[in-house]
Amino acid sequence: GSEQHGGDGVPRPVNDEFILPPDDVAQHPSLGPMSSDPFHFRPTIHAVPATEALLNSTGLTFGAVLSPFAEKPDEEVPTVQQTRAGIVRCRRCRSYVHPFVQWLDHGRKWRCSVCHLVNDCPEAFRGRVDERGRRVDAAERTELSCGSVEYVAPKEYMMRAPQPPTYVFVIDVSATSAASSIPEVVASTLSNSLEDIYEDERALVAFITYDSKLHFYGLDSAFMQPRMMVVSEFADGVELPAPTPRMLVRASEARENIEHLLEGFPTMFEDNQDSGAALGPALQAAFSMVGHVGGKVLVVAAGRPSVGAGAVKARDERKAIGTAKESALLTPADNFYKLLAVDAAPLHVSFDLFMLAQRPSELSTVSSLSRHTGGKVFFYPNFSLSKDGQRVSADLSAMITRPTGWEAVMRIRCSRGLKITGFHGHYFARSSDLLALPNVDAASTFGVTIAIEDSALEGARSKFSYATMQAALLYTASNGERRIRVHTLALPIVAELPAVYQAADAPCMAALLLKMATLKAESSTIEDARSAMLNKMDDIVKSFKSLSKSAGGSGQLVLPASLRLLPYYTLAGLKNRALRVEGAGSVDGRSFALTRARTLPVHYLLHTIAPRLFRVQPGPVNPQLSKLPLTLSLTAASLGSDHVMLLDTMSALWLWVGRDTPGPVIRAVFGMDSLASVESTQLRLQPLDNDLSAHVFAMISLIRSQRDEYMPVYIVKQDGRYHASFCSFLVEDRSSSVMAYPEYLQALAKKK
Amino acid sequence: MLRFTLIHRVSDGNPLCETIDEGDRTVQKTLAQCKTDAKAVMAKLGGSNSGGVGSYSGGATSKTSDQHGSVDTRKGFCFHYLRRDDVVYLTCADKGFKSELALHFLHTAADDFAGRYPATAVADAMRPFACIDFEPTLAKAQTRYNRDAADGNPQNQQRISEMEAINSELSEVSHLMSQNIEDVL
Amino acid sequence: MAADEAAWSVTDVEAVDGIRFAWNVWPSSKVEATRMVVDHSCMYTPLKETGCPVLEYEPVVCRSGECRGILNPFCQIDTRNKRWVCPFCFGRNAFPQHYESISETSLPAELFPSYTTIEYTLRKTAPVPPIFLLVVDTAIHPEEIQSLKESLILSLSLLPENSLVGLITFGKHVAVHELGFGECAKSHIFRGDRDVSPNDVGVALSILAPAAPGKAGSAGASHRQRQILPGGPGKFLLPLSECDLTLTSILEELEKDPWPVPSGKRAIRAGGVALSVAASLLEVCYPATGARIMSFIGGPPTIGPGKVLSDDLEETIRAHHDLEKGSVPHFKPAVAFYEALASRLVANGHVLDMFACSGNQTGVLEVISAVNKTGGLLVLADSFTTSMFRESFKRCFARDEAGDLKMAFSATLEVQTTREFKVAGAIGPLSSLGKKSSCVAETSIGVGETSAWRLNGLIPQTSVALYFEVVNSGAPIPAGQQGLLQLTTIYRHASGVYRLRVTTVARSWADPKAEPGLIIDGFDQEAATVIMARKAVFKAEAEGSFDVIRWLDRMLIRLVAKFGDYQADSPSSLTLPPGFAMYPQFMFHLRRSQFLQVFNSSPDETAFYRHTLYRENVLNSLIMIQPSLVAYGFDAEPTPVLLDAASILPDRILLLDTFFFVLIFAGETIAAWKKEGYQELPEYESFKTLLQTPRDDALLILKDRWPVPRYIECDQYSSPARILYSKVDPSVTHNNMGEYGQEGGGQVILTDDVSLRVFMDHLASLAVSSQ
Ligand SMILES: [Zn+2]
Ligand SMILES: [Zn+2]
Repeated sequence: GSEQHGGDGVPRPVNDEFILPPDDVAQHPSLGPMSSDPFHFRPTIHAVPATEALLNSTGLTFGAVLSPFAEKPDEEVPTVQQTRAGIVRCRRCRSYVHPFVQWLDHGRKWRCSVCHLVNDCPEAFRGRVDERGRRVDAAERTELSCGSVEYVAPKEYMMRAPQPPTYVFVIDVSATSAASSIPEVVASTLSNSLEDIYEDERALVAFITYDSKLHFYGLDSAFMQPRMMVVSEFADGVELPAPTPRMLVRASEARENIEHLLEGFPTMFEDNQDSGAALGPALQAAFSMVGHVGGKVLVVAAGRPSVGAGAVKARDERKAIGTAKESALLTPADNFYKLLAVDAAPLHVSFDLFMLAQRPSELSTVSSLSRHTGGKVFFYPNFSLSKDGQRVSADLSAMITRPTGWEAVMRIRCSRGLKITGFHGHYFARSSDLLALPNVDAASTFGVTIAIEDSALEGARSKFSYATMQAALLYTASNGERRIRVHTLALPIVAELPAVYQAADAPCMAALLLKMATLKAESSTIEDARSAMLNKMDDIVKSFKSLSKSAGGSGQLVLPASLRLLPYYTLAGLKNRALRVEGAGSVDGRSFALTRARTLPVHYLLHTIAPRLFRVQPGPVNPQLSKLPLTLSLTAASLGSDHVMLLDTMSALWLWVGRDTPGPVIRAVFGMDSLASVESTQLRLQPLDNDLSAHVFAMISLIRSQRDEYMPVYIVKQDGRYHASFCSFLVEDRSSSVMAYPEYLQALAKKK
Repeated sequence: MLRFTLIHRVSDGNPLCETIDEGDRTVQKTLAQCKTDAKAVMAKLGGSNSGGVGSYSGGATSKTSDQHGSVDTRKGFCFHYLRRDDVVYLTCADKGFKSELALHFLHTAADDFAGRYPATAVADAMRPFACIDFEPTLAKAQTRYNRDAADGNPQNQQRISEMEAINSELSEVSHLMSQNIEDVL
Repeated sequence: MAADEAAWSVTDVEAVDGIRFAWNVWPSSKVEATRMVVDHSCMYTPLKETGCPVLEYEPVVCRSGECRGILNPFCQIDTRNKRWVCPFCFGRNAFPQHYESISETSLPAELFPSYTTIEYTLRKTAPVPPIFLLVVDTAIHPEEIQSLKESLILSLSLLPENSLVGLITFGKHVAVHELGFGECAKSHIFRGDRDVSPNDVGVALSILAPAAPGKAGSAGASHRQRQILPGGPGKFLLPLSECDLTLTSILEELEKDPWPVPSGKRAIRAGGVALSVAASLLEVCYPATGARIMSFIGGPPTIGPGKVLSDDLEETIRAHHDLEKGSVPHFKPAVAFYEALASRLVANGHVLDMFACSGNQTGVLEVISAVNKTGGLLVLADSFTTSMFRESFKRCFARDEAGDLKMAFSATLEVQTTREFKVAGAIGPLSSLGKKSSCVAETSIGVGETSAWRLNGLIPQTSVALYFEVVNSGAPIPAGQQGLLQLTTIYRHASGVYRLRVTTVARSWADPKAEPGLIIDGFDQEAATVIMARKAVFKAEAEGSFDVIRWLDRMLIRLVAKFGDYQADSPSSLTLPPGFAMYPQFMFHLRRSQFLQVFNSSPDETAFYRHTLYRENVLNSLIMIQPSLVAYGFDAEPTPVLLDAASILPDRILLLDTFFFVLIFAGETIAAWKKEGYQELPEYESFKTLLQTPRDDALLILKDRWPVPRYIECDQYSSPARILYSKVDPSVTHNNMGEYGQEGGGQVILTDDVSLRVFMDHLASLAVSSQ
């Protein structure tokens, strides 16, 4: 099960890496394992209520979270071996044939499950149908047996020749950046991670650096050395100082010059006195360089844009944090970035942003560029080389080396009776069901809210007992192949309440509710977003109470098994930096936390709001650890003063040391007798030659292996400066604005 | 100057390779239209013998099935094409660009292409742009011919002579036939 | 004095003092002076290599009032009282302390009678070594780039090691190269389509601190008020010894401007902005220092301010008739732009040199004011691959015996006169310093209303024409009293020291009415021709060539009428004094010359010819006006012959030297033999020698002259021969051929121009006419 109970009988999540729904929920017996894996496409309820009223009576939210390009470890999405007939699609609604279509007329025709049209089956694709209407040869045809498949697309699916992998690096080299050695970090990261790109004959690369001026680099292999060109005139638009092919070069051919440039980076800017940041013009320049081909612009910034188009003054946030005024600061101060996104996304250009800031940087303004081009955002507050250097390096590296889908679009089709009402995530909306994703990778995640249309659904039910949702992602692979990845979710239509409750997927619903809350936090206020979450939980509880007609007397909260963890996640969500009243210390921090909530897949998101707490066991330890111990409750009671604890917050690992931890333990882990005189920020965890140290490192590597993102290790002493921060992750405890978990359960129990 | 080059398989019109856009905004729109026309012309070149598109058939040359020619788009650009075996090569050039140089470029590109993708590889290629890896080589050659033409490199003369020699082998008429695009499409 | 003797001593004087007067005996009255037609004037070459001594000390200067007269051999000395009298203001000055021991027998060098020209070394030294900022056009053919870069790299070895060098290249954009940057090749780019202020250049290059944000009005502050960031200038203008390798590698990698040129268009070239940025760079880093912008131009600017032509090939560059019609939209704005540039350069002591090498015009006419006013050098050639460019460029860096560059910087020329006359102006590669001393005349000729001028750039050949006005009106001048003229040139020697050259000359006065013979004997017709020529060209620039020719004719008629011997209305009775005999002929050739007959040249060529005339000395200028012609034949030594069509014979070779061209012309028969190849046959050795001798002589000219002239070999009746035909006196034309009955004698010139004979006849009849 997904639950465990502490001694107090209160439900808590297990330390499941992926927090998947239980098998029996996710896979309807009648549909078998052929529906798309929740890893890719996960609904909040694994069934469709037959009417809107039925849904509303539960108070539940219907929708889905999908990561179309995610790859389950050791399980690739299979490629369809196409027949002469090619890709089989419904004539009317263009949905792709899938395991759950109805076969008619001995297999000569098939009924589309989305629009119900009866299609002719192409000759080459025909096969025998058994008495139950199922294709006998389904096992041999990938598209008829797998819920997630991939097609190689013919030329009709291509607007143009496949674009080559294209990377533009836009790097802040101002005095602020140089003082933090950011050029050095970027240069050494790129020196290592461009290897694959050098191997690709077609890949294109360009560099733009900026302070209050723009710097372009001629890297053509015909040059003996890189040519740096400084441009300071961009008041009415950026004019490129050389023809594009000089600066946007084939990485494989220009390798020598690129390496020469990266080698010089640290010294080139180390004494830079220029503290301006012409980020806006740099972005315009990057766009004009790749607009004709598309690509990924990776931006490493050290602060807010202060020069040229898109420059913003830092808005005074001190008085706004934690108040209703904060929401205004979460909306962009200048719509320059959104307008640029509107131009860039249709030309298949996306922007990923790395903000390595030491001061308020207007992240909410600048990140709107990433948001509307399907790019990613990374934020490192109070950036320092020693603290964050490795993390930046790993994150940047990942963005370059991770498999990427280029010039992509995604369309989601729902069968009759279901209507998409909104999307959450980073994308560019081409229409109500078509998203442009200039670049897509495994981390690209989208929330979808879906409404039920009674009359249509009723009509659909007459033909099909289940509803279908199909996400089709059309993209170009780095090798030039045009491909379509199709995820098909088939959900039974149920008319009874118990069935609805039984199919509920609390983790997924919690994730979607959080994504919806981020929207409300920006469009309305943080307080409204919090209220919405609390009210939703209240509704669900009250609905169930009235529907189950259970005796209210016991004082215990009664919820269906499937939803028992929902209050936990609700509370955890409210205590998260994205939504908590006191905020994240800065508006940038809150903005980033909201971005994370909006874009993380279910399991990552839930780990973020409800970190995993482990105890580093004293006593016999196993240096060859293969499985993590059980998680402990996120409450102060779990912290013994003689304990050493490890907290996995998804973005970092916190090693907490109790004040009474025995000397031998300290010595074994840290190599010193006592931590009393040492500042925790000075401590570095090094592997030492003893079992306990090996055990600690084994735990750490095991957790790290479960993640895509690099997690640094922070050390916290019980009485130290960061103890309070550590405690802010203990979501079960009371905070200044939210009650403790047991209290919350009791309060919910009392709702009428 | 040469603007773009397309390589298609003749038998089914499957595109094999194409140079990426240079990003010259001043001609972007016209060139986009030209590209559509170019694909139509290449489609016409398909089949056992080019219907509607005149060309010179090979004689006693090593590339016995070579056919090449030029088509005026009436938009300020000219298409030059070469059909060899199951592959048709087309390049779009400014009207002023010498057709002999454009055709020499195509012949050289075809030699390079065939060296990298033998006939079996071409026949087997299933997906569109299966030979997209050839694009960097093709783009480099295109740039080289453009630069030599602009600089008045003596290479140009040599190339023109070579092309004239090939032409004289192909047919008794020594000048290249050029047609207007309306006649072709 | 016989004319020959007078000529002899005139060049002697020139050798010592670098000066030639039109009149060596000066008219003593204002009224009479104006009747002499040719102004009281002189040609002065401030840096002539005279071998005069260079004293290690500063000069003794008159302290009386505003007078700045310098102690010279013509001063009255009181050795007993250690005083001297200034001949210009008659003030009495005490000798400085260290001149205590002065006596009749112990005189300081500056008082030696033979040292009328002498140099002093000033204490003030140049804080900065000479600066050379190269501005290179890259929108040119790759072959041109190759040749140009070779020349530039070579020049690095010719520059003094301590000189500061900088590099700006341009095509569509302007790139200022940061030579001091070690990590890679770094340059700062400016758009070519708009001008940029010195301030903005300074800030863009991180030489000036940017305006403090929020300070209203500070953006408009002049760059002089801005703070110069330490090390700023040193990134762009470095000692050659420090950046030799970097600069060489950048030059080696120089390539054609990469922007493609669409068909039907010409290259986009931001020539105007490039020069403006260059001037700004120098202005910001080194105002008021000797610096040269050496620009290498391969075509006309087609974008931005100073544009001369659009990039559309349909539009052709202006010819003379376009300028005459006024149908030249780019002309006035371009000229205004370059005039503004000229003012900036002049004010800062900077020089603009231009090497314009192209088969077509590059817009020299528009930019010429900036070159002329700063004393810059100008070379016109067809291509950077020619030796006209390569050799001329190389020779710019000629060194003297001490190993210093011959070129000088930041010069000022000041004139001091005795009371009887004043200075009316100067014509040459100079600009006014606006000094309103008591020596300044009321009338103005050339650059007037000043007695001092700036010559930012100066080479040993540079010669200035000075025009004077006699102010003495009525009162006769005491016998024996001489007029004195003192020319003081302060300049920055290439070795870094400042020097002062002073030339003091004295001449006698005479009353033209009472003693015309004296005046006549003192006339230097060659100097007078050249001085008149400069004045004529100056007028032509202002008023147009046609009117100037009429003016020249009128002046000539008046001169002949005044100084000739004749009976009224009897042309045949006219004779001129020996010292005036050549003058009408000089005038004849002047009015036919490329300076005033512009339609055979392009506007750029005309600008080039006039620029050169403004710089050269009397001898060279005369060659430009009346080219020399030498005949080579089997029977005789090479002989100078008349510049006359009759000199063109089929069996001789002619060597024509116009200063700008050196033309070897083979008569018809010679040409035929050449074609047959007789020179290869051993028995025709003398023919081979005949062919070779003029070539050897031509080579001597090419080796010596700056800029290197164009060398042409041609045969009679070939196309280039028209150059010779246009220069010679068309004594034999289709009009008069029959008259002379010269069959086989002389080339028939197809022209409607008058011949010298006809001209002289008309002149004579007009001069003697009593009307
Ligand atoms: Zn359908
Ligand atoms: Zn005096």
